[in-house]
Amino acid sequence: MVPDPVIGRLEASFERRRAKMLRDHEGEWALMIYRRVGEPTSFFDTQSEAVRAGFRRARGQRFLVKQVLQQDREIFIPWLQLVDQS
Amino acid sequence: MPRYEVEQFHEEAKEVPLPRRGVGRIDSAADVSCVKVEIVEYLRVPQIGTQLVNTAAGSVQRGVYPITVTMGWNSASPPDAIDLQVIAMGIRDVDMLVGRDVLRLGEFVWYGPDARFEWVLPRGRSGASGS
Repeated sequence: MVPDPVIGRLEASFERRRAKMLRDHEGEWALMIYRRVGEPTSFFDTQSEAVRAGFRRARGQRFLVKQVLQQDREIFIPWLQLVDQS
Repeated sequence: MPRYEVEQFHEEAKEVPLPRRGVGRIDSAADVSCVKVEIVEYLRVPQIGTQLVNTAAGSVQRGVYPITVTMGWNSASPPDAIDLQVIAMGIRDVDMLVGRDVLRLGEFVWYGPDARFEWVLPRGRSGASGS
């Protein structure tokens, strides 16, 4: 798939703030809503709560949901046969 | 589509894409469920993140999408709809790989001698969550 520039920008913003967020919100799920200047960030206990709040608050704007961890977790789907190797 | 987005579409009087029916394969080794890229494109679901996925072919970065899934849609009393955050990937043969994020919600029993299985998911409960 083509990389999503909005998600890319939100991910970059998340990276810039990761160290600060880790101090008070490690393990929580961050919700960042796309804005021209500065993305407001909220925190939730579960991924589902953050997604639900994203649809409610973003009002048509794009948003990112990502867990606040020292390092992003890798998931395993060992038997997956990929069609796209890109 | 994710049910929260459908609600928003209704509020804004936007046209909601028809639900997409597909074939899934149970993959008890998968941490998280995956759907074909074509499905999230058809449903016009917004990407909400990225995820590093380790597969037999190596590690790949893929998009995360929120969807709402009903298993056994053609039964008289289907289980509750499940809200999931799935990975969109190029998958062969099926439309969805059903991972442990879904399996953990129910009881899965394999009857070896009969070569059949039974999978019981919650019914009659609102807000079932697959995260």
